[in-house]
Amino acid sequence: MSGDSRTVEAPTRVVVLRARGFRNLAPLTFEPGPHFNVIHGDNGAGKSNLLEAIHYLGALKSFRGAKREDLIGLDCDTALLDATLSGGAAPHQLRIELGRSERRRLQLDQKRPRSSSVWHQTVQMVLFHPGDLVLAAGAPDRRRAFLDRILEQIDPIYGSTLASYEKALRSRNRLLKEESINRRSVRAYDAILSKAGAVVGTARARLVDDLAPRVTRAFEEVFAGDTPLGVRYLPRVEPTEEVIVQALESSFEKDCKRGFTADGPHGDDVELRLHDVGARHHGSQGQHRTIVLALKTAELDLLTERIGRVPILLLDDVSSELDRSRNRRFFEVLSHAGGQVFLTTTHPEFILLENDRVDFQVEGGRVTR
Amino acid sequence: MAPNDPIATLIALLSRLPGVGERTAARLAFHVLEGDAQYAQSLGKALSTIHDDVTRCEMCGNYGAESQCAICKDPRRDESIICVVAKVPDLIALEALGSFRGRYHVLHGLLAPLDGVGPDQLPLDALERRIREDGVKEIIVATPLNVEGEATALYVADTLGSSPVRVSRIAAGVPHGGELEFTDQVTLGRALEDRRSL
Repeated sequence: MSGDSRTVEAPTRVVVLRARGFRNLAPLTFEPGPHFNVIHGDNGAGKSNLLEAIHYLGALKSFRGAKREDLIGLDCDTALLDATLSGGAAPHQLRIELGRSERRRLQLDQKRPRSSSVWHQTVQMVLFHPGDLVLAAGAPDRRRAFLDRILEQIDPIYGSTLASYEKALRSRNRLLKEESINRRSVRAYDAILSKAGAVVGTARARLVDDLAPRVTRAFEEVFAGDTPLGVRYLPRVEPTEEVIVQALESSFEKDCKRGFTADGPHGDDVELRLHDVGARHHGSQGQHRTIVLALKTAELDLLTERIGRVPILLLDDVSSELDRSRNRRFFEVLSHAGGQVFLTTTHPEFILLENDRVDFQVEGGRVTR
Repeated sequence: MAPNDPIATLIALLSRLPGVGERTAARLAFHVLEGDAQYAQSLGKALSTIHDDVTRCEMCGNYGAESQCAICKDPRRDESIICVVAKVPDLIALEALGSFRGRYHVLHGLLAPLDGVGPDQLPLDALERRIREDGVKEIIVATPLNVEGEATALYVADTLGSSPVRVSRIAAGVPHGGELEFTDQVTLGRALEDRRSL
């Protein structure tokens, strides 16, 4: 993508991952290759569980929305992930312990990380899985979550600002559902919402400005999108403190009637347009798939530039969804980016890669090379 | 666990304390059991009488042995300035400074609609009464700098908006002696935002 990439450090890579008691995976010492790692096996064999374990190292949550208990193997009390990652100045040691009754224990380089933001700044990943189709076809919250996840990795205080915003919003909405609404109680949250909301909305709008040309380019070049793709941030209200506080004030009566807060960045969206029609409702499933891959390609490109090293890319069952020529171009781009890639597939022959490739077979929770 | 097993009962009771898990509770229980019996008795006595021996101050909500706490009784304390805190440990931290010579008002909680805590559960009427009756000139809101603490501070400020009292909020920023490079980024961002002119 960006030929003049400002990468200064080696890409982030998993050197070794040890897993015990994670989902159905047998105790595992997984040493992936530096570039493409093709993980194949039948449905239900545990491919996605392995990918989920790798992804958990960065995201600290399941991309399938699983609860902590579900990640712990049936006969186990704890699940343990222990990994060495290279990239950056020195290798990092990550350790995650998930217990049924106790809190999750995290260690980054033998120490408890001060915050999850420290963790997200250390381990960057980009994931594409079939559920991501909702990015193009689903409700706006999925597109906001896409932006938030990127911002958490590049902006150290974004995550805590967003958490404050969301908590204040839930609090205000709870108050709006009460039988007799205390105006003063509600107003106490308006100031918090407008302050945090302005930060959140502005950060997202700037991110989309930076992301949009990359998405458009990827859509055209890599995926040979037949029509131009337009990307634009659509704020519900202008993300400044003054405008948000004014909107909350003036829609108070309406908010009381509907029982929730309508205005603010929690109502924002990212508009995706093919020619002049909205892609969400008018695009075909094939177009949605291509749009999402373009978004992910753009994310990888942007993170590489912002962080100064290539993040780890995880692709869950993707290439079966692309035709041969797009498939090949997609892998060319990824190969050029030079990062570590993990792909799962039921059909390894669909992965049109000849070089830099290590294959792993997953069968009944066992991973073999 | 066998019924009426005194060790198991002690462990179960201890593990209900905040920050104490099953394993720590067991360690503490065996420490008490295997240690000096005198100590165990003193601990037991202190625990059993704490609710009777300690009461909330009628004025400010601080803990004390009598209906008025030592701070409210002290005539040298400035009654025109009240520092509002969420809980008694916060008051103790401020007292340890030694530089604040006003009085306190302990809320014993913060506004938290998600946990069902509304303004009626906080002693805000009592605060307003003190302002009316005691010639209070300034309120310093020293609630924590999180969503609940901020919402409570804003609520208090809004409630007192019509009274002539001055309402201020404690500053947020870099700790004293703190190197900027070692300050967490949320604090640093906030310190920059709340900068003051020199």
